[in-house]
Amino acid sequence: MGYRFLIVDDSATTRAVIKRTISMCGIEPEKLIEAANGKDALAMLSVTHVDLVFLDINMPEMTGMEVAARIKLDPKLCRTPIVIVSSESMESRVQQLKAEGVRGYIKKPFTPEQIRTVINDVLGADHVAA
Amino acid sequence: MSLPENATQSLFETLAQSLETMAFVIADPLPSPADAPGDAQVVSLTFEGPRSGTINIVASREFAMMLAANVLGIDPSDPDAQEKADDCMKELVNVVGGALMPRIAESETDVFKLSLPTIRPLNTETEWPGFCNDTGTQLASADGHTIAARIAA
Repeated sequence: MGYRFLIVDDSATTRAVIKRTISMCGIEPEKLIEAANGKDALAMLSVTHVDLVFLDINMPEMTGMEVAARIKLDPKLCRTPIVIVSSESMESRVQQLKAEGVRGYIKKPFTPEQIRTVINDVLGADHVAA
Repeated sequence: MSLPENATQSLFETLAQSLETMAFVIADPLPSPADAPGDAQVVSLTFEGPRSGTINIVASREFAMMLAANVLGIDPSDPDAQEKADDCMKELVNVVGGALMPRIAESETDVFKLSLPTIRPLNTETEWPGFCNDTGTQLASADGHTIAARIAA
């Protein structure tokens, strides 16, 4: 079974690095889509089912916090796992996000191992190469 | 609230760690003054919270392309490295800012709001001397490229 991922980050560089890292983890996604802002991400999610959202916090127009809140409020999307990928590392922010239901938090700069671990945790290890 | 005394040192350490983790680039401290980077750009990020201020990083366009190439795992001459060079510098200051906040915070419950990074060319004749000599600035050599990082309230 192939997984569908959505990467939401205003940095094209970070989106490219996450894509490459997923590939390095031995995962061949069925679909891997990208959004440069929260508005586009929500539009994509309204028409495409994804298994996991990688979400930045500090973005123009709509922050990742707002995007996560909208996803959690939408009955069709609320079960979609969200993993925050952000440079923000204050423990208070991490705890707040976890309390709001995000499944994982990866601090930038990240290693391939951190991406692999969070995918394992959220989707299971069956499709992730060692 | 003013910045802690070790803010500049913390900034340098955070920058060095970020460069190493993001791009396998090693940064060593460089004494001041130093020649300005050629074709210099300054990337900036402001932060607001219990302490507020600005982080600036100055580097050459060539360094930005090298950084993008390392981050993306491509050759510096690849058009993608040139295209993403500015974006990569913005991401660098974003990462540095995020990692620095816990180090300058008063407590673990502090919340900081980070701005979106901006980038612009630096006028090395008029801006570099002041930047270089600022007490909040730390110069560094990163894989042979001169870079400068400054934090100011």
